[in-house]
Amino acid sequence: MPRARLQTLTEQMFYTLLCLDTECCGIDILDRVPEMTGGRVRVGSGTLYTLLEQFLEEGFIRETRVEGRRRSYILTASGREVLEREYRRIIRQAEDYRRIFGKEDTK
Amino acid sequence: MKDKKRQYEIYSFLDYDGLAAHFGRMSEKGWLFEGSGPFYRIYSRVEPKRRSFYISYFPKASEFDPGLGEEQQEFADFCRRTGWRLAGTAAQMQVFYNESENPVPIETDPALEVETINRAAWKSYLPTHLFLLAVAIFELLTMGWRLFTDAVDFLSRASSLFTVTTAVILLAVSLVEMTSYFLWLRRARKAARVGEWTPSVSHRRFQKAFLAVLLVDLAVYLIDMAVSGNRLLLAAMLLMTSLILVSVLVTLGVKALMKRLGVPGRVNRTVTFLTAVVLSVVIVSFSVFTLVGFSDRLPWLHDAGGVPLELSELCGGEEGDMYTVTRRDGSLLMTRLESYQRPDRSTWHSDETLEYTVYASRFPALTDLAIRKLLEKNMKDGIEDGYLYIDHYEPVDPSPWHAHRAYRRLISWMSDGEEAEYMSCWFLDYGGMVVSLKLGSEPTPEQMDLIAQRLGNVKGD
Repeated sequence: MPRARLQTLTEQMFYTLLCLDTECCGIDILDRVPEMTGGRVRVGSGTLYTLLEQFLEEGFIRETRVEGRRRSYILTASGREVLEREYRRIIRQAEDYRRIFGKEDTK
Repeated sequence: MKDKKRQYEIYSFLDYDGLAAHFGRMSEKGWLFEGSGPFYRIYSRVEPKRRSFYISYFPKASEFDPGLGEEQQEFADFCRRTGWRLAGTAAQMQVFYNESENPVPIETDPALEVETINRAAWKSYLPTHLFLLAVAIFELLTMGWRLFTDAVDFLSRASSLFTVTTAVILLAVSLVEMTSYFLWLRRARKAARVGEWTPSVSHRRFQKAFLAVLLVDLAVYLIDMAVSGNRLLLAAMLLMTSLILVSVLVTLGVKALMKRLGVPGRVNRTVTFLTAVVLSVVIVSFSVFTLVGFSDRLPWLHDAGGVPLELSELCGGEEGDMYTVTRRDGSLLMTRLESYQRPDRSTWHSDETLEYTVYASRFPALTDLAIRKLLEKNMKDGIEDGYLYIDHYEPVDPSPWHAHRAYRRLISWMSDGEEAEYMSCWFLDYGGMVVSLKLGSEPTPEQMDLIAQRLGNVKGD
């Protein structure tokens, strides 16, 4: 069964939304995500473009400024809620892991 | 030295990996993709270099757009930030290249890429193939109906085989393309759910084979018409083909001109569509009112020269001006020669007429089918106003005709059929040839001999 759209966030979705906690131009997210993750996560330019379109459509972000072709966005309350939900899911996963393997196994 | 190059290339919509690799090879040879023409791709000369190419799709783009829209430019800006430069576009397809080693791909989420490709596919690729499929099915049903209702006419027309084979090729192309697309989509969505990528699909061999078959089909059709003697129909067909080609070029020209003038995509699409409709109506009207008449009438205006039997020969050398019409048609399966001859009564006072159609085939099963279908078609017995109406062909003695089988038309309006009268119409089976014959009077044995020799290819004594 296909995954419900944007019910759980991929890492790329998660970090894109995270970047938009402060107003940010779409194109700058391409640099900020690798900075934020030490290069572990990279978002392709096409993927980011589609993600921003989807987030706008879902109301997770809103457009704040348009300068020529540069558009800036910021997280909405709904987007914040999605991020929060995803964070809690990750925490629960981590807790489940610790319960099984113990704290000392985490690196 | 030329700085631009145009090439005809076959790549399917789904073969984006193959196409990217091809652009890479071209780049190493010093040619960079720039854009697409109606039937070709355009390359411009660049420094020969190893470059990475990425085919991306932008579903909102249209082949009617005068250039990159704001959103597509924004997309290109995003890509430029990661080192990807836009080489050119073709409808929804965007070709990017990157000169750095191991660049971050444009698409890093397989699920998003699959859905983007799917949205782009529904914009023009899938509708085009659905349209081709519908046309092919319609043509095959029409041809099937013709085969069912008039098999002899169907088999003895060069256009029938051409239409059927072309429709089969179209059907195969659209089915292969769409089936493989939906199979790919299913596989790609399944793989994307676990974060995996699915390779693109190539049909280059199929597409080349289909194109070759289509060209052979066209060549056979033209040869068929030339060999079967129907030069006028051949000329009509070539004229039609030229008209269609001109109308396609005019439509494409209108589209290209409006793009160059910066006309918005929607306006361009509407005007181009209307141009295509108007030109199609003009061509269809032209073909209906002139070419159909041309093909039906002009071949009939031939004189009898070259026909196997002339009325004057049948009348024992009696000569005079004749009104003669002749028509030839045929396919690889069966040829047909029709001739109608009567005296021009202002100079030749005779009631004799000679009307015949000779069907010939190398395949005995087809001449067998032909005579069966002719008998079926001419079986018009029935009951009308309480009277039994008889009108059919009855087996008669074939020996006077030197034929394998002979049938003669019998007509009666009487209830018991006793007053039935034979008409001077016959179907004669000469093995590889079937002759449908209609005479102005009862033939003499000498005339029957002559007819057998000339129309049935029976050797004389």
